[in-house]
Amino acid sequence: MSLNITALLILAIANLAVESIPSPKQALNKIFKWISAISLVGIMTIILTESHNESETVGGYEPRLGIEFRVSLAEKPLIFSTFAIFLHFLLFVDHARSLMIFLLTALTGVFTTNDLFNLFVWFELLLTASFIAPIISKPNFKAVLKYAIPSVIASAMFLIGIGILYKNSGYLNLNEISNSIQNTNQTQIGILFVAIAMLTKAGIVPFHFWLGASYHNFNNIIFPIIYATLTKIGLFALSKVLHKADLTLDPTLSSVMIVLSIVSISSGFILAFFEPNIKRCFAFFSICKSGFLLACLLWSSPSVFYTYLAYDTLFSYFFLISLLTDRNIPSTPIMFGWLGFPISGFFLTNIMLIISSHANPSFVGIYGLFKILALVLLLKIKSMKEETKVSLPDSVFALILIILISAFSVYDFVNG
Amino acid sequence: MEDRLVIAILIGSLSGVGCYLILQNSLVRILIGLFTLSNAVNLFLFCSSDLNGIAPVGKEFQNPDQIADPLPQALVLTAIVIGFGIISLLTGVVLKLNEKLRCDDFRMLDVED
Repeated sequence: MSLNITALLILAIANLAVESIPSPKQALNKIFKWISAISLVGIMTIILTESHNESETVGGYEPRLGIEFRVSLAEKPLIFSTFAIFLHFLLFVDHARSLMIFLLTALTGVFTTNDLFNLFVWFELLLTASFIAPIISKPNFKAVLKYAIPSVIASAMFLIGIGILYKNSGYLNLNEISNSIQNTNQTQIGILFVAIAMLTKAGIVPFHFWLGASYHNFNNIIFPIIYATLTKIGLFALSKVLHKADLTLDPTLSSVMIVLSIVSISSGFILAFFEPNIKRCFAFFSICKSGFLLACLLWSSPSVFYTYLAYDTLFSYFFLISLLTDRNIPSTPIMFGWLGFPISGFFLTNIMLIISSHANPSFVGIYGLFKILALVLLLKIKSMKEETKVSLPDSVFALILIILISAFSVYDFVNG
Repeated sequence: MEDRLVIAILIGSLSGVGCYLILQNSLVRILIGLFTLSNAVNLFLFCSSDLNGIAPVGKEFQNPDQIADPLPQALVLTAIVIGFGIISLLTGVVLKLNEKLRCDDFRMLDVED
């Protein structure tokens, strides 16, 4: 697993070298694009086909000192969808390739690591890459600062949480923590710090203030991939820490988080509905979606939560890439009337998620079918409204991937 | 006990100063605040092991309980490097912003929007 991450890092550096050449030849650029795409497919296949019972420890040390990498079966759809959207971006958009591969490296690290401090390291790499993203096409330093300052404070909180959990368990490995930690007040304070850090990164109310101020500053091409991955990764990490380390939330803390999720859902939806700027609208809607995700995290099993994340990553990316980079559409402002309709549609599909994830057994696969229908409908509306042709590769690619993810969840359901 | 008290006071003071500076409007002060807060957190992380042990290098120990836990020390080292990298990046951003806006006020960022 660590070899896969190293390979991705080398790929990012090689692409950076090619991009740094003053006048890169078109042929060289194309060769590196295809090498990167083939490598991504190879690395994704290796990660997905590795047995979920096997783990790899860096340096061969025991878990206390070594860093363990392990991917559970439930996480595989999410890894698949993340690699798929980066592959699509590489093949059909091909913008800031080195940065995107660097971002994917950090995401793969977050997905695969089983070590609490290593999770912090990958998060910092992820943040460094995302700090650079707004200044790629134009020197938009304000966006970086508005995004970076809350993120650095959140990272400090995460580090305090790690310190407290280590003090109480003597381990950093999530599985070892689950075996040795006792549910004391100190442990709950540690969980609280980790939760605050992750909720800030996810943009849950009242830690959402940075989202509306910074997200719309990302350029149209990068915005879909940032929107599809970055806010969700905070909640993924929170879920990973809570479930793998088997940490039980205090009832009061759990109630507070439920209230926060409800407030995020309602305020995010209202802000998005009345926002005329399309990117700011989706930035506000990501607050609403984070609220839904938090509710799902608290109420349902990790596999349902990860499957929902996988669907949502695919759906958000393909909808926005088709909307923002396709072509003749002004980035701001867009007519309020038609933007309110898809936002309401997304809101309803997310309510479907909550109903489906709460059912026993969960029928989250049906939710995927709703998503397919919603995607086809929205792309159709878009082509009617804007009188532009929706590009075929985007919709076909999205459809194939969502069907594959549905197959994953059916497999998961059949195997209990 | 006294050592722990001194370190606790130090962590508290650094965190307080860091938070105070982060709440200021000057971008440079915010940066210094972030740096101070990050140092406070590093010190906190360092204290997550027992502070009474002997340094685990250069000697052979009969009783492993005598040795200080080396893991938080390694973690702090990594956290310092990462924190330094990110603060350096942000310093560059603040410098560039200062060149562009000729101003050091965080509120000016909203005016520009």
